[in-house]
Amino acid sequence: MRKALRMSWIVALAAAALWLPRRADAHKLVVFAAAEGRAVRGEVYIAGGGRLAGVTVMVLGPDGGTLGQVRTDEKGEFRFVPAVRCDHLFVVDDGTGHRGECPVPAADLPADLPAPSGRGSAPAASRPAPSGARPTTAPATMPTDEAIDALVERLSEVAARAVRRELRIRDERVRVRDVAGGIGFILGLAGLWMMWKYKRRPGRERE
Amino acid sequence: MHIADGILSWPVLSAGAAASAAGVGVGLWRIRDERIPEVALLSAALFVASLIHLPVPPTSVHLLLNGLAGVLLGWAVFPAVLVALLLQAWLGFGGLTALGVNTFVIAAPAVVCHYAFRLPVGGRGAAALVARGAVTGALGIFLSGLLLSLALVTTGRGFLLVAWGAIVLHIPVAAIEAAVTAAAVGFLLKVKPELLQLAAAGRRGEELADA
Repeated sequence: MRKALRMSWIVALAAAALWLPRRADAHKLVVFAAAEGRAVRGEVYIAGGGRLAGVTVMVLGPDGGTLGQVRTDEKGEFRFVPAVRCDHLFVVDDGTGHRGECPVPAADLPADLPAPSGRGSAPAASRPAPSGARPTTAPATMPTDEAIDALVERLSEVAARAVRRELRIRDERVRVRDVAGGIGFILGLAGLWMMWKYKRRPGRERE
Repeated sequence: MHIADGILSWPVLSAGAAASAAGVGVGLWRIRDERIPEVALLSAALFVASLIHLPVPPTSVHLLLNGLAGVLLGWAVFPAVLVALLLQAWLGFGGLTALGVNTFVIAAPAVVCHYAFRLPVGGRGAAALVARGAVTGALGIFLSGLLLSLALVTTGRGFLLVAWGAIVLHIPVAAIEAAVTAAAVGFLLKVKPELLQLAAAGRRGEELADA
């Protein structure tokens, strides 16, 4: 009977482990943000679960100071236009102990943004925004090389963002092997513990 | 119930770590050798249970099973919770620096449940034990929610706001945990009552129920 009970526990755990990660959402806040053109676009969701609408995303600079904040829209997405070219950190804290963050390195932001105050950057700042190259405004003749370059750059940015987003989502997912590994870790730990106890008191009678 | 890194201040984190270390110490000291496999099994159960998520808009909540673990393990629930939470922290649920606080938030109510289950209320029959199992299942959740709220209040958030998230949103979880704990107690009473009695008797071998 004892054996049967132990077995039923193990079977139940194994069944839960196999069934869970496929349907269940992980329960942590995930923030995704990536530079796209002149803005940083991102989304907030519960790993494997739904998007979070109406949450406040804090935007922090490299020194931890606040650069701004945005709220997610009804689709859980947000858009932030950086004013300076420095590392940005997008942080969400839901107030019940969950926190998610996503860095956007300065290198991903437009090169013509001013550096954080303290370093001379006036010429860059005064430069007119995107150096034209909107393909839609091109005349009906062949588009210029510049316009084509800009278009290719924009497309690759969009593609890179999609790939990064997908990687992030996969990264945050809890997998069967994680759960199986965890259970194995616990059982192994118990085995080590029992071995240690046994070595310490080899002659001890069982109660 | 898993506080992430970067939320709590160092004094709170240290206090939580110290309290959990004390609890783990007591737990390790009180575990009898032959109960190590049970501690490990419940640790695995705690680890898996926290991965079951129920959507409760605007977020989701998960089972804890700390009431059940507390009833069965007593103080040994501290090391069981510590190991389960360590693994979850590796998976990204709850921060490593907040491990002490998180362990205390989940394990301390479990110990309370252990003693609550042994209170001589409502008789010693099987039905009374099952009913007490249900109560302790829900109690574990609510006490954890309360401790979580207290920990988060130190960050300057309003208590009621946090308590709403931590306690009210967990009412469905408490209902499920009550049912699970009651069912587990009923099952063990039928199949292996000595597990319950032993667990409830602790180190000194007191008898809980003659039912």
